[in-house]
Amino acid sequence: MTTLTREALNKELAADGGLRVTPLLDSGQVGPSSIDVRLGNQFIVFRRHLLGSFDPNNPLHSANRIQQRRVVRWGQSLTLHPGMLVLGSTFEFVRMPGHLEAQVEGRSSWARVGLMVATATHVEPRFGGAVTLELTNMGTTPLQLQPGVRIAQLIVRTAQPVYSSDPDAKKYGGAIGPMFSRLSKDKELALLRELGTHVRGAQTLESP
Amino acid sequence: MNVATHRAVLLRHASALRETATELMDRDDFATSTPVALARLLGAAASAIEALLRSGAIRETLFPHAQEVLEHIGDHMRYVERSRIEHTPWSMIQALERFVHESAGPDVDFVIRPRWSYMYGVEGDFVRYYRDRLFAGWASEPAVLEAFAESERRLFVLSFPRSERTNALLHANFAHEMGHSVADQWRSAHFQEFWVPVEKALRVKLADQYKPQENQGQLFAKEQWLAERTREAQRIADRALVELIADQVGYQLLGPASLFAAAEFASRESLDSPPGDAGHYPPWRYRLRMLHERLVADLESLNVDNDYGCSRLIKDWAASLHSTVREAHDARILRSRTVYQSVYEAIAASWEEIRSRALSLVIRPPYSFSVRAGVIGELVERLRGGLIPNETGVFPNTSPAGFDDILNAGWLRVLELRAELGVEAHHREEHVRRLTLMGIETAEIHRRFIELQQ
Repeated sequence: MTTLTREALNKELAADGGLRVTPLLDSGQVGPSSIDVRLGNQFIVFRRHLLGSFDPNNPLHSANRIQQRRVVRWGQSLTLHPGMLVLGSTFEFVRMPGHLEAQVEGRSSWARVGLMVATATHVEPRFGGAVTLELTNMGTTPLQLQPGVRIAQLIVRTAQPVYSSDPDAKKYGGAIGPMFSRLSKDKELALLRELGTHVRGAQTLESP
Repeated sequence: MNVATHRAVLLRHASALRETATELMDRDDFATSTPVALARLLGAAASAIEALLRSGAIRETLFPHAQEVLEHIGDHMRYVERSRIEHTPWSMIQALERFVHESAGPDVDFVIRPRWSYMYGVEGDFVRYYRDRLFAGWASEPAVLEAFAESERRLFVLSFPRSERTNALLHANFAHEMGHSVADQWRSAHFQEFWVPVEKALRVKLADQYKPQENQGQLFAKEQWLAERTREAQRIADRALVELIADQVGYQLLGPASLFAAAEFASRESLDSPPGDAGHYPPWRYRLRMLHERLVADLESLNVDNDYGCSRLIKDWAASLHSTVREAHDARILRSRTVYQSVYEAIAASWEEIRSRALSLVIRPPYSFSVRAGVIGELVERLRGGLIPNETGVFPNTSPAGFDDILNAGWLRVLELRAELGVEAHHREEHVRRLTLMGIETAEIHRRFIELQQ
């Protein structure tokens, strides 16, 4: 895997079927080895007053019930209080070609005031959509997040062999804003539930 | 109820409405500031009623009218409340506002709100409605003068079917609704001039057809019969002209996208309902035929080498619409009664003049598919590749796409999917609609960013 530098990034952004990060409001967003991405104006915030905890195994605990979408008007800000997590997304729509993948990383300027961006940072080949960003304030001061601000950077790398599956089949593909968690759709969860049943069953047999 | 109690009840109602307006003005969850402007107007109207009640300018005999005004304010306040971000296609509203200002002038604004019935609609202008109608009797009162001091703004409310909130493509129907304000201007200036000779000729024809019923042979019965039919004919003429003009304005503003949206809407309804059974509206087939003529005229100058197959797509679609509009079922319906026939023959005879007079009131130059085909093709190609249709050009030389071009591109991609996949296109269409919505918003932000940099 090779990290693309400015020249290669510019070439990819202009090539037919190449990488797209659109719109780039300023061509200066393409840096020496990364592309700065901006914060969109849609957020998913937690409704902490509704549930004591979130259990992906509980069908009643759908993400829609503990989270809600909020839109911040351009020119206004979202306040991120210490310890608070919100989901945002890139303002730009990103389309990865099959031969590239990307890593989302926070910008050091934001990290220095306590903002952590994206814990699930991998953008897979053939992804198409706005990239959901997990934003957490790890500092002690509330932070004002203004839509449009440069919030993170994409580090783009080559992927081999070229990936060619249908982009629509991706779990979070085609997003035009932050996406709710789909943890409860993980196929393994059912298996894990069953595993628990077997263990309990075994204990029952052994008990006097 | 005694006078003092009645006055107190009205005062309390006005005061509650004023407070509600203030609460709405404090909210920050509207896509733009236009709903706040409407809330301010309604709050000022409620406040004026309060002042007039306190000063005694509203006498006992006018209490019913004051009550009516307050009911209107309450009804209209609902529009503001429903125009919050969560109820509207918020991501396209900023772009739509720019489009409105470019099309109708900087003093015209539309509040967007959902409605549960499956229809689009427009109401307004609210400033004139309140100032010149509801408050006309108190026009010289200081409280009223103060309430409408900033009254040059023209405020309208556009409504859309709630279930289609995020369907940016169907919202091309907004252009038709915007056309209603143009149609109203035409009507104020020219309808009487159109109607007087039609009415005269119609009365002569109807008088010949009149057959007295047994025991009803008096002149009075004949006059009543004639009056009923001419009144009906006038309503039919008025509705037909307003809708036909609004259709033409819609096409002028958004080109084929407005026709695609109209055809989509029409597909849910009967194409040939007689005006008498359809709220006096002209039959859909008749309306689509007129828009189809406009499309065909537009496509005559189409000559694009590199439009990514869009010319073929739109010509195929135009041909399929032609097979619908060449059927003359609606013409037979419109010949079935003298009232319909007289009105529609008169419209046909004057249509070119009516259309050109009405369209001269639109500021924006006509949208032409033939001129824009290259740009539209580029945007369609982006949609085919799963990208938002927000800009044209190659990085770093890109430009934000226009609201009108994006809608036309979105529609063409949908029509292409339908041609390829038939009913199975449904899920892919939804994806296109989402991409279109995001394309509209990002293009608008991109454009504003460039304007601020300059």
